[in-house]
Amino acid sequence: MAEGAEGSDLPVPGRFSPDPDLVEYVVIGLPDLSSSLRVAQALKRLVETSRIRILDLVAVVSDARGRYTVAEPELVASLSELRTVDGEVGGLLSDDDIALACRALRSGSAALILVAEDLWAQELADAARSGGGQIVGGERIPRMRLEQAERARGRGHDKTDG
Amino acid sequence: MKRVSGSRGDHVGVLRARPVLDQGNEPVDRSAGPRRVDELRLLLQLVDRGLLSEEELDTQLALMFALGPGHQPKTSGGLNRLGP
Repeated sequence: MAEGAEGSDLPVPGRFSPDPDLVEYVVIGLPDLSSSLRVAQALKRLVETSRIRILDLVAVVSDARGRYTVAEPELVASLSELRTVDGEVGGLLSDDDIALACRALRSGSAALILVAEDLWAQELADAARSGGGQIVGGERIPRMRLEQAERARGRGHDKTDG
Repeated sequence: MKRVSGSRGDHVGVLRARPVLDQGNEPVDRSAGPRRVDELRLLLQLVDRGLLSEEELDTQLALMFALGPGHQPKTSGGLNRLGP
């Protein structure tokens, strides 16, 4: 992830060199882009407190027919708070990435697609490496799966209690 | 933030598959979210702070509320890029 868009393995001078074990993307669903004002403020705080580093960011709006419009962050007023924040945009997410993410979006909604380095987990990554290990994977667990697991656990308790 | 590339078209990409999103749930409960008047007030504050010109404000209002003129919708799946 530290290399440039050209695919070189060498870090590009002046570019961030994120820990490649700590880069993830998140999709932040919103009813419309105006609602991203507070998200931008939160992201700014997360960057300023060194909890994340923004590696790419793009906004998308899906209309009622599922067509989407891409808005680069510099063109979204509600993301103005981020103009002075350290970070990068435009270097990682491809047009195909955005199309892929938009296929999962609910029609008539908006979203921010954020690629970030989880600086808050740096200590964990370092500890794993110091023991000869590595953070090798992870995934956000969908809310529905968590609810199903919780219900199943509740049923298990009922049987045990009974 | 620093822009490191003007076009995303040539990027290799980083997503392996369509993201799994929570479906059937409103992304945000509007009753609990900021009211429109508050959102407009925040935008006007950006204008007052010089972070946003009035022209940009007009454009952004159109973008936020109804996808204003000048924005070309894309077809989901990026099929627009496959056209002639």
